[in-house]
Amino acid sequence: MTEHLGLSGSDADAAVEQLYAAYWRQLVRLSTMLVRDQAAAEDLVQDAFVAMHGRWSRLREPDKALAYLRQAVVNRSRSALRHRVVVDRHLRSATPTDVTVAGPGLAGSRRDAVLTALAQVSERQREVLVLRYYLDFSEAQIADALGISRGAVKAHAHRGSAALRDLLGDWWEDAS
Amino acid sequence: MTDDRLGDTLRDLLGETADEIVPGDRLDAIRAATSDSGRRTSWGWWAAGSAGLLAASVVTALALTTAGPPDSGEPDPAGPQPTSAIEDPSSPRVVAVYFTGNTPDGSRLYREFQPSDATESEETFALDAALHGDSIDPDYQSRWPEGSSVGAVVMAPDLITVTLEGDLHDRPSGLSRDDARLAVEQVVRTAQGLYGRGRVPVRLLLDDGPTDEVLGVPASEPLVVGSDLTVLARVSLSDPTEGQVLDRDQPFVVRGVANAFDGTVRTRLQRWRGTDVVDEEAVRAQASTDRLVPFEVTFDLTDVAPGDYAVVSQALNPSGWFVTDTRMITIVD
Repeated sequence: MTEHLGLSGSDADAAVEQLYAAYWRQLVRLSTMLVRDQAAAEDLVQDAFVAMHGRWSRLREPDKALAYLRQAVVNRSRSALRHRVVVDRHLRSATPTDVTVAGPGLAGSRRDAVLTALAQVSERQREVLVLRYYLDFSEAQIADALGISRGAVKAHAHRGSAALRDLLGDWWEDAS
Repeated sequence: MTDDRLGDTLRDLLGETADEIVPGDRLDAIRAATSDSGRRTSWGWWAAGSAGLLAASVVTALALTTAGPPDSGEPDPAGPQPTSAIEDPSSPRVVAVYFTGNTPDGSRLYREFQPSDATESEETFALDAALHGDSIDPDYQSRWPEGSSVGAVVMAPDLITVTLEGDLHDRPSGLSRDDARLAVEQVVRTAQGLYGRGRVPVRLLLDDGPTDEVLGVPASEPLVVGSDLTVLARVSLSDPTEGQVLDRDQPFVVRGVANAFDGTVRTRLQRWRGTDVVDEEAVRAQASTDRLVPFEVTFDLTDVAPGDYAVVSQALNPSGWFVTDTRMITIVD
């Protein structure tokens, strides 16, 4: 059943090695910002690499493979998050927590504050913000990756960044 | 603040946040999963591994009744092989871990297969996962108090001894008697599964010493498991694993254990977070005893659009409710 893959096997292996060296860290960071759980992020990016290897015969080019990896990571992060919502809901109802983000000087780092704030905005806003400001995607690239219009990208970016600024409060002032 | 300045600040904040995230190395894991032997699906070796374990449990039951020599506890050599695991001794073995989940019958145990972590023993990995509720499927939990952990584990043909650490003598407030009993069963069944020689009694020690109770459950004597149908969910999926990625060119095999009151376990494939059922298969799964029996169904994914799907297996209980187990999978081109 795997005979046709054998022909491109070495290419696929090499593609995995190269893309891993160049993009593993970036993709795990991207996913961690989306799912706020580094271990889960590593798992799902690992799966994305394995899936990319499996369809190398159809991708064939590093650019396409990278686009596939990014798409897969965003999609899988979304799925992971949705699946976790059910569990989180139970946890939240059991132990009501304060959702405001601690300011500078209080316990926690700015990284935690940013991740917590990202978790508070809507799914689309989070995806748009991370693609726009971490990966430096253009509006057109984001629209393509998320399957939404450029107008929607603009609106999510606008509302998302305003929401993030409010959520981060003092942290934001510190950074700007 | 202008949009430009807003953007600059965001770029700084996200860049700084990203820099502080230090990803672990997974290249070896990816290589193992994409090697020739593991190419069938991203979790090919894993799927094969858990099938091997199922076979092993049958073999073990026979070995016990004929009082044959103890086997190695490895998957049945005649069954499907987790080849990459055998070729590479550092690859983790798949272990079965029991977790609690909600069913129409109340809390019950579900069994989940996990690749153990090569950095610690399988016993420690699996029992700690059970205590901490480290399941892959987010529908599962553990009712053990925070701070519980496993110490020494000693396995012998007539007795498994598991040392637990933590403040675990009394039943914590908020944990019902039934849930405390189920938590203890979770450890007993996970330990028995690790040993792989059937229902060997399990003695629990607390912090290296004997104890009269664990979570308020009498534990002076070695423990034996309760009836499957009062402890286990009536259906529990072995394959796929949560989040598994499947190539639609390949037949998709769903495996699990069940005991359906009406004798039929139904498995459907539906859009994730949707109600659009793509396919449904029914198969016999009923035992005259209280045991759960293995079932297997195969789906053809050729005409299924790539995307996220839920695999839902359900078994009827005597009150007319369906007990279900669900996995999220991703189908790719």
